[in-house]
Parts: sequence; structure tokens; C-alpha cells
Amino acid sequence: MSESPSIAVHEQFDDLAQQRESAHLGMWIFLGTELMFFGGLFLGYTVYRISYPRAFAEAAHHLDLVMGSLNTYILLTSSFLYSLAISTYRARHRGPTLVLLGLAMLLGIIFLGIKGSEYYEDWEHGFLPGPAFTYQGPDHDHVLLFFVLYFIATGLHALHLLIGIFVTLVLIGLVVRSWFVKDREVAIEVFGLYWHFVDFIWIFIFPLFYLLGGP
Amino acid sequence: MSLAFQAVEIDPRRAPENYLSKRGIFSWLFTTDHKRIGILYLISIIGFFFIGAVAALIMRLNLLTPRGDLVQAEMYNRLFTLHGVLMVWFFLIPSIPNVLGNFILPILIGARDLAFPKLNLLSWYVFMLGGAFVLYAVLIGGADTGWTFYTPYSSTYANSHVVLMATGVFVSGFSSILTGLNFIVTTHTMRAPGVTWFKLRLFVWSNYATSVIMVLATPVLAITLLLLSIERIWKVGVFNPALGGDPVLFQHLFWFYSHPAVYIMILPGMGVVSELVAAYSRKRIFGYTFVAFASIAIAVIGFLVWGHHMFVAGQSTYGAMVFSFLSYLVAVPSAIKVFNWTATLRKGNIRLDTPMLYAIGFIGLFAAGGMTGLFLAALGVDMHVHDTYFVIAHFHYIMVGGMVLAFMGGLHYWWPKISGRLYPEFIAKMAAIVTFLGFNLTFFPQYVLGYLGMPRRYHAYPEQFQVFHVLSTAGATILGVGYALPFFYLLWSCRYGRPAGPNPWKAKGFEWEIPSPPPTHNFEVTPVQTEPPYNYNPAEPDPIEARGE
Amino acid sequence: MTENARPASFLTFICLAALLGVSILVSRLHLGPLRIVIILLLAAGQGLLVLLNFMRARLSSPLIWAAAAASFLWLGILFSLALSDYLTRPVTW
Repeated sequence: MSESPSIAVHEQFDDLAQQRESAHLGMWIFLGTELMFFGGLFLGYTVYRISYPRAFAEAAHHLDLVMGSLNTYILLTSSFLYSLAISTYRARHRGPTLVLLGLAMLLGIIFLGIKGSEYYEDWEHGFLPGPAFTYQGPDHDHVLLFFVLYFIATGLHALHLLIGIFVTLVLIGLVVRSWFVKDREVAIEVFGLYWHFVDFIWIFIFPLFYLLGGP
Repeated sequence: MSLAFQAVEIDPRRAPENYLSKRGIFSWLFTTDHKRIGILYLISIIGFFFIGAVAALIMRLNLLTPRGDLVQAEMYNRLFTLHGVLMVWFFLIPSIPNVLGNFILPILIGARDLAFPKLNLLSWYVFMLGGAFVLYAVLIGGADTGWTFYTPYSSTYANSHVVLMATGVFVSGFSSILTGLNFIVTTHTMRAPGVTWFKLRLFVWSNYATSVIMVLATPVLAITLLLLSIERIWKVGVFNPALGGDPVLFQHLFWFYSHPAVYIMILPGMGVVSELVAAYSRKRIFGYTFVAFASIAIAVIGFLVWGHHMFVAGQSTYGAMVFSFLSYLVAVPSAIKVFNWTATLRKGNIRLDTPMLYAIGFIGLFAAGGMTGLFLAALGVDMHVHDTYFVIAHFHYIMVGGMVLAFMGGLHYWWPKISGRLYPEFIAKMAAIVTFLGFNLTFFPQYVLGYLGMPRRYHAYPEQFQVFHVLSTAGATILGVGYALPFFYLLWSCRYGRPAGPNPWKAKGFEWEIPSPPPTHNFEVTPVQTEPPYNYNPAEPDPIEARGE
Repeated sequence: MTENARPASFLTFICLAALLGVSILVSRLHLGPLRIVIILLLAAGQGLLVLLNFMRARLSSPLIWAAAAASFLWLGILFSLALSDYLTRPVTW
């Protein structure tokens, strides 16, 4: 397959290397902002966990550990597949790249599906904060607090994942349509960073909410 | 000296192509040129400033009499909230970075544009979207929580449009983040050959430090406002003590952003002052390296002091002591800058042009305001003056006496570059002096008021404070005149001002080597920097010929 | 580099899956306060693996390292100074 000529570098840049470096640095800085964003939320969680350990442990038991664990493995795998996709793209293996990106995206969708079913379960059992919250134990207020933080954290995470899924779809389309174009490599790499970051955040959300409650 | 109204037309057939040449509203709304985006921001922030200033005027008129009979308490609360929100997020934070920074920063480093021009345009649209939310909220009644949105009042008990206001601020935060990201990447990757870090202009250093703060602090504001809105909409307790929440947690999260935010507001001003002091003393900045590192130090230490807003809020005594100590520390790099500027002035070939008047005004007023910050950092003193007019005077000295003066100075300094025209010097000088006098009359009495015990955010007060309030209001009207004058004569200059030429101030720097107004891509040929910045020789005679007015 | 990346990625994936499995198991054990510490350390380990291997932070420039490190440092500032308040408050329960 012959290589088509690379797309001209955007006019504010002097050369491709500068454009590439800028794209990478820009994405890392953006991920830094996302870390601070979730970080504020994690601070809130930490403060309240320190204050109400018993209530938080009790509340954590009402989460579905099996579903949560499964989801974590799913996201881990999709992260791995994304990593592979970048390698196969660099090696100019078009077919495998598309398959890997597609699978990663699919796993992301499955994650959201499982999350959605967990939410539904939580609502059915009366753990959705708001008027539908029907838990009646002694630590009612603090259990409610746990679930508020849980829904916000996982909800924000799911939103980020959803955006990631859409962008992956766009990337797949771009790869299909204009192959061997040098700056697509940057796009996939840079977006791969975002996808891995979404996984990274979940690596912390999962234990904080599902595992710290204990047996 | 007269303000003639004879249009100084420039023959379009002989005028070179510049960034203003392309006409039509869409060439502005879809531009990716950093210079045009700077102008878009300029127009926007003037609009927001005007609304915030009108709110302040109404407040000050109300405060002329002790009984507060011009507006009710409820209305007064909405006014100071609107004033704070607009002035902080829609005027001060974007003013120098998004107007002057956008326009001049790429040129200072020899670049054709910022690293991400489309993101730059997006940041303006996001800014306007945030502003639209806030203005809409104001039109339907506004919020009455103060710009600080303290819980649980804002999250549970307030009967005003908190979520809308908070959403507007939340959205505008993304504009900040995009700008900061753009500036950081640009400064790292787009410097022209020869522009090493220690040959950078100090304006660039300051904006870089500002951008680091923007990027690290603003996301925390975002999550805080989000949590606040969720609590308010779904009536679930995150900060509500009735449900086990901690209102002080809100304050920790809010001030983690909002304290560094004040450095977002002042650092660019300091960058401008460095430029002005060098250009109008015709001398290299004394201790360039110290000033550059001081910017970074302010940015870093500024993140460690937020608890000083919470000394009376209920945080632990030990936490308070740590924050108090660190707050003293943050004054050190600011003081280093003030000393270095002063040392630059010494034996310089000083020219008291309008921008220099603003710069010198900044140095004095910022120093005064900064020192009162030290008063506030002392735990015992803060107990007495917290939530009084003393605090208001402190931050207005820095923000208005410092930052706004720096903005005016920078705007005047680079105006010939931006517009291609000269403004009328005599009137500009008069406006600067009127502003300075009006400012001091407005805000100095407020230090006294605060010390005597007048609380902030009160629409009525005991009789004994009236004389100070009357002085303050009188000053405010004079200050208003000082602000209005440049608005008119700068606009006047766009059509009637003398063409400026590339370097009216005979200053040193890449921006003075290109035409005024600059061409769209700034440089015909990428410049190479061989000399250190501010390579002035004060011994040589003043090259600027006297201009008859 | 492309050929080497695949075995490294797979190894990382196996390690991640293993760490996750261990942390799930640990959460089911009665280890007292140590349990929380171990689980968080395991999470941090997973995070590091993702950061260093999947995200190729080790292959990027020092500038990228600095940007990533700064974000974590700042998160640390937020946590440490805020907790310095909470952990030194008089206990009321």
C-alpha cells in the first residue's frame, strides 16, 4: 500500500514535531485538570469517610461487588486494547487497529450498560438519593451521603466514558477514511491518553466505594 | 491639546494588509487570529465591567445614608453578588490574559499564533456562554449569596437563582482552563529561535505562572459548584450540616480555587508593570531572574494559603496557624518584585507618559494593599476585621488600585500596536490622575470603616459611619469619570488619532519591530532573538521627540 | 518499538488484573485498619502501571513528566492542607 502524502502541518506550527509535542503536552495538561476535578470530589469522600466510617462501611455493602468487579475488569481490558491499537496503528496494520478500537469501544458500552443496570438495582432497593431514598437504618443521613458521593463520582466517570466512546467512534471513522496520514497517529495517541485516564480514575473509584467497606 | 475631530484617514490603497483588514462580522466571529480574539474579549469584558460598575454605583449611592433607603436589604444582597461575580470572573480574571495576553503574547515570543488557535476561539464562545447564563440569572432576579456562594445558605436556604449563577461561573471556568492550557503549551513549544526561557519577556513569565494557576485551580471550583448545584437541585446533603455534611468543606474546596484566583488576577498585572517600568525607565529590569522566579513562587505559594479566608469559620486552630504562617510567606515574592521595580527606576531615564503613571500608581497602591494583607494574615487581627470593610479595602486596593491600573497601563502601552493610532496624551494623563485620586478617596476611608467595625455586605449602618461612606461614594463618582475618559478617547483615537508607526515609544521588543497594526501572521520572517530583553542603555538621550499636543 | 510494545502491554495487563484480583480478595478479609492501607496501595500500584505503561509516560519528554507530576503534587497539596484541618479538630464523638 503506498503512503499518501502527510497532511500539511497547521499554519501556526513550524514543523510536525512541534505540532506533535504541542498536542501531547496539551492533552497531558488537560488530564491534569481532570485529575484536579475528580480530586476535589475525592477530598469530599475522604473527609466524610474519616468522619463516618461505620456508615460508609454499611453503605458499601449494599453495592453489587460482582458487577463492580466485572466492570473494573472490562475497563481494564478496554484500556489494554487501546494500548494495542496504538501499536498496531504505528505498524500500519489497519485491520487489527480498527478491530481493537472497535472492541475497546464496545467494552466501554458494555461497562455503561452494567453501570446502568446497577443504578436501576440501586433505585429499586431504595438507594437513589432524593425522594426515592428509603433506607431506614440508624445512620440514615450518612448512608445517604455515601450514596450521593457514589452517584456523583460514578456518574461523572460514566459521562467521561460516554464522551470517550463517541470520540473513539469518530476516530474509527477517521482511520477508515484517511489512512496512513501522519497526524492521525497523534490523534489516536493523544486520545488513547484520555481513555487510559478514564480507566485510571475508575481504578480509584472502585476500591473507594466498593472495597473499603470490608467483609 | 485640543481634541480635534478631523478624521486622520489612512488611504486603503496604500495601507499595508493587517489583521484588521478583512471586514465583515463573520470574519470576526469565526476568526482564529489571536489578535482578533483579544479584541473580542476586550469588547466583552468592557460590557461586563460596565454592568458590575453600575451595581457598585447603586450600592454606593445606597450607602450615602445610614438607613439604606435606596434599596432594600434583599436587593442589596443581589447587587453585591452580581458585582462580585461579574468583576471577578467576567472582568478581572480574563482582563489581562485574554485581552493583552492573547494579543501580544505570541508576538513577544516570535510566534505566528498560539498553539491552539481554534481552542482560543472556543474559549471566547465558552466565556460568552457563561456570561449569558449569569446575565440571564441577573435579569430574572439574580442570586443573593455573595460571590462566595457559602453553604448551607446557598445550597439549602437561599430563595434566589443560585444554580443559574453557579452554572454561568462553572462554564466560564472552562474558558479559563482552555486559555491557560493554550498559553502553557505555546510558551513551551512555540518560542522563536534564540528566545530561551531567560530571554523571555517578563510579561510572558507572568502569564505562564498565571496559566499554571488557571489550569490547576479552576477544576476544583468546577467540582465545587457542581456539588453545590446538585445539593440544591436534588436536596441531598453534601454540605448541609442537617444531613451530616460540613459547610466548611465547601469553603475548603471553594477557597482552594479562589485564593489562587486572586493571583490569577494580579500576576498578569505584575507582568505588565515589569514591561512598563523597563520601557519608561529605558533600563533593564533590575534582577530579571528574581522577578521571573518570583512569578512562579507566587503561583506556587499562592496555593498553600487558602485557609486564611476561614480563620473564623471553624477550621482547627492548628490548621489556621499553618495557613497564617504560609500567608506571610507569600508576601515575600511580591515584595521582591516591588523592590526590583523600584531599583529599576533608580537612575533610569524616566518618562512619565500615561502608561508609566499607571505603573507607578500600581506599585504604590499594590504595596499598600499588600501590606494590609499581612494585617489580615495575623490571626488575632483577622478576628477583629474579618467580614468588615477592612477586607473590602484590602482587596480593592490590590484589584482596583493594582490590577485595573495595570490593565489600563498595558492597554495604553500597546494601544498603538493594537489600533495603529496614538491616543491623546494630555487627556490620558489627566484620566490617570483622576483615576488615582478617585480610587484613593473611594477606598481609603473603607480601611477606617472596617477597623471601626462596619461589617461588609450590609445595606444599612449606624450613624457614626456615615461620613466615611459619603467620602467613599464621592470618590467612586470621581473614579467613574477616570474610567469613562479612556473609553471615549481610545474610541476617538481609532478614527481621529495620529497614525502610530511601528515603535512610537522607541521601546525594545519583537512587538515594536512589526507594523502597527500588525499583519495577520505577525512576522514576515520568523525573528531571531540575539540580545537579552530590555536591552536599553539609559545613558543615551531620549529618542522620543517631544510631541506637541 | 511497535513490536516490543505488545509483550510489555500484555504483561502490564496481567499484572493489573492480578492486582485487582488481590485487592478484591483482601477486601473480604478481616485485617483491621491494615485492610484499607493495603487496598489503597494496590490501587496506587494499578494506577502507576496504567500511568507508566499504557500511557507511555516513561517514553515522553521530561516536560510531560513534569506536567503529570505537578498534577499529582497539587492534588497532594489539596489533600494534605485540607486534612490538616480535619485531622486536628477536637473529636466530638
